[in-house]
Amino acid sequence: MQFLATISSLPFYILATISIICALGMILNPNLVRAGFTLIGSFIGIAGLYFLLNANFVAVSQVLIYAVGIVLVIVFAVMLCSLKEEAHNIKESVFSSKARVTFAVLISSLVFAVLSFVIRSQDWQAIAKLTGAERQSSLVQLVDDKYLSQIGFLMLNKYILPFELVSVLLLIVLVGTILLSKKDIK
Amino acid sequence: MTVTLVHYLTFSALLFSIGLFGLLISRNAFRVLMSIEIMLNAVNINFVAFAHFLDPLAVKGQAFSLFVMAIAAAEVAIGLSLLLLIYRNRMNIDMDSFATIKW
Repeated sequence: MQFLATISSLPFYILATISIICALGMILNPNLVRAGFTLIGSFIGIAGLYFLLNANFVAVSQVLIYAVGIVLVIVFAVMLCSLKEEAHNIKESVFSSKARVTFAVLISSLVFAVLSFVIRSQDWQAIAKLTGAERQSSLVQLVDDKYLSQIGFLMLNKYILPFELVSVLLLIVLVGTILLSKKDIK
Repeated sequence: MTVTLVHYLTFSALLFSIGLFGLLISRNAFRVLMSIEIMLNAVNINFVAFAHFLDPLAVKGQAFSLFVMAIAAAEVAIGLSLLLLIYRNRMNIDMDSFATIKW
């Protein structure tokens, strides 16, 4: 039984390790285009975690929007900027000042320490009882294939206002991007 | 030991700290954008994990993670067009050189 539990938790650890290593590689890789492609590995690892969490639609959207869409747009913009001379001495510019690196390590490890302390100190079992998740989790197998319709139902009923606001936001972004990238901006 | 909500939350906290580290350490504006994407992804993992473990019937967290994705796409589009505009004007995208663009 112990062995079975270990095996079933293996995919989580593998995917988490992949995405953390790829995220670190993105930050430390001196070549910007390679850093962008390393980011794809991180996003695909996170998409695998979404599959483990029964969020199939979110996982597919993650691959489509993040791993393909956003990263490809960033990589194309990097190529447009043709930072040839910067690509050579970016290593020294990333690690130039010791004080900067020390500050960054200090701040981020402090944030991680505080977050993990808060996570450990919560009683999640009690919260799960409070929300009724314990009762519902026996029903999850029944509605396993109904997640997608549930998301659509939420988006068009309870969350109709944010849904419409997002569409307005995307329209504004479309217009704004065209306006910003016009040659003769007056 | 089975994988519980705490595992997912700790993983997401770790990923968020890595994104914050990249945000603070990098001087290239493109790398700053990529670090922000990592941080947004960490938040998304939280949403989906809460939806799975605490709210398995009405999966509100998944709907929210889709909203976050749409806003991340919008942020990247505007950010990149601003960066290209700055690059066209001053031929570099070092974060320290933006300090003169204050008002």
